[in-house]
Amino acid sequence: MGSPMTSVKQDRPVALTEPMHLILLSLLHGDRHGYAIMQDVEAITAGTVSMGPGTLYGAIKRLLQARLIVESKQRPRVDDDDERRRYYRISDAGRDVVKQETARLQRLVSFARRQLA
Amino acid sequence: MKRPATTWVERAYALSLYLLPRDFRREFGDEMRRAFRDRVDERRRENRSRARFVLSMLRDGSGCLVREHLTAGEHAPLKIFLFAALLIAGVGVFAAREGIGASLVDAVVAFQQQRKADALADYDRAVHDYTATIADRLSGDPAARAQLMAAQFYSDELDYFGYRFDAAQPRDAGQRANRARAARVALKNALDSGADDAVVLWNAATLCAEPVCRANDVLARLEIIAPDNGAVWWLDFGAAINAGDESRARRAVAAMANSSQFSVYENEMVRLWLRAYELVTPPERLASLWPHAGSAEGVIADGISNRIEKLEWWAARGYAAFERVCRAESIRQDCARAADLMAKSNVFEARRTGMRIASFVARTNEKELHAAWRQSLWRRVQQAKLLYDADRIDAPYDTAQPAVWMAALRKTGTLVGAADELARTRAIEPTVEAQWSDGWPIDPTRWP
Repeated sequence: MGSPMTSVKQDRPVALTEPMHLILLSLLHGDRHGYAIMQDVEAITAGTVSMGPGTLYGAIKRLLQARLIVESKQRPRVDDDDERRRYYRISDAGRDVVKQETARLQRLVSFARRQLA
Repeated sequence: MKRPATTWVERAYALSLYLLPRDFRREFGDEMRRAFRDRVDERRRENRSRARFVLSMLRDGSGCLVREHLTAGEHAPLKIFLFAALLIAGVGVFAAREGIGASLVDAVVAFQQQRKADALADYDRAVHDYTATIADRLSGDPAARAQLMAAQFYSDELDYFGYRFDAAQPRDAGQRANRARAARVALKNALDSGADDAVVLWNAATLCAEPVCRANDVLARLEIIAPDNGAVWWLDFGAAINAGDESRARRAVAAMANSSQFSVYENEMVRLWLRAYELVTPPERLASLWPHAGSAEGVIADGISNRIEKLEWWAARGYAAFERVCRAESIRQDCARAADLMAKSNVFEARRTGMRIASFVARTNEKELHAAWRQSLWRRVQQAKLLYDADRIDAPYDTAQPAVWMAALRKTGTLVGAADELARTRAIEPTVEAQWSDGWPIDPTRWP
């Protein structure tokens, strides 16, 4: 799994694992419930990462604790809505973390390309 | 009120959640059960392996158990031990129930077979991703043209160009049948979504061998949106040659020569193909595909002679064909030589080596190979002569070549000998006029 990074905008550092990162990427598209996040993660990673409920909700718990996501009261997916499902939304802090992680990955890719050229 | 679990595996999963820390279970237990059921339904819909699914859920659950207990510090060692014991027992019960077999070897074999099926699914997904990439890069109606590329790749081209997805390359008859089916679906999608895309319709009408392409409405639709496109004459020309009807063939050639749009569409199709190859061919091999022009666009733009374009084109296809067949140890040396010659742009020398490879692959003797080639060459010679008579002396290399081959064949008596002769005399790019200097017609009954 991916290496952790620290978020400089939190009260305390957050170790961002790959499942947490993928969940944040999924929530960039809009509010999602758990199963929808699982499907998004598979689509984002072209099927190479398939998250089980244990991994998913363990990561959601940590993201909630770090206030990178919040529970949403809205119901965006009408076709499969179930009032017992909980929806999640990325917070502003979560968006900042995604931006920082994206910048970090871009630096790594640029470095690799220079070395491989 | 909780919904009851409906299968034994869902009931087992619901029970296993009691091994998790209380607070975590109370906050997320319902959602985890719901997500698990969604996964079960998904697996059932997509007909994925149950064994693989259960093993992945066991892995997910054990990781969650350890992680959450370590962070919660709530009777962790006891619950982890209980889970490990249940896990071992559960795997055994599951294996017996699923009939996977008592032996580890049977389980591994079953897993490998599923892995192969999953790899095939990965291959299809990768083809889909590549066609999506092509759709972004091609001009015109991207969806229809991407589907057209998908149809070609499913049927032949990716394999033809040696594109590998590690172990996912479909090989057996069942997988090839699946790919053919996928090709027909993609082709139908291309024709349905490309109803007003002249390039798609033209390509389907002139090159497609699938029944869906031979439907009359493809040509009729093409005539509506692009009159005077020349496709019908190309088809008529081919039919006339196969039937031996020279006068009909001459009329078709004349019509093609008068069709201003024919070469436009043909070039557009070549451009589409070369761009697609460029996208799916590994970068280190691209340089060997267009050594003269430097790029696919360079090939198209080369206005000196379309012979060069055809040479590049056939060199690219030939290179890939050699790689595709070159797996037998006995011809590995010939294959390496052919590849080296292609890379050095010595197309003709490579084709000479390729004759030996083709002979090996066809598993025929020289006489049988000669008979097959004679029939093919005679048809192509007729085509070349008709093009010459229609004053198209800039005819592409591949159709002008047969007369040169025939002259060498008459002289040497064998196909491999003819290839050696042509290599020796460097008769690679003669003009059409020079080719007819040894006389016409060439009577195949007088061949050696």
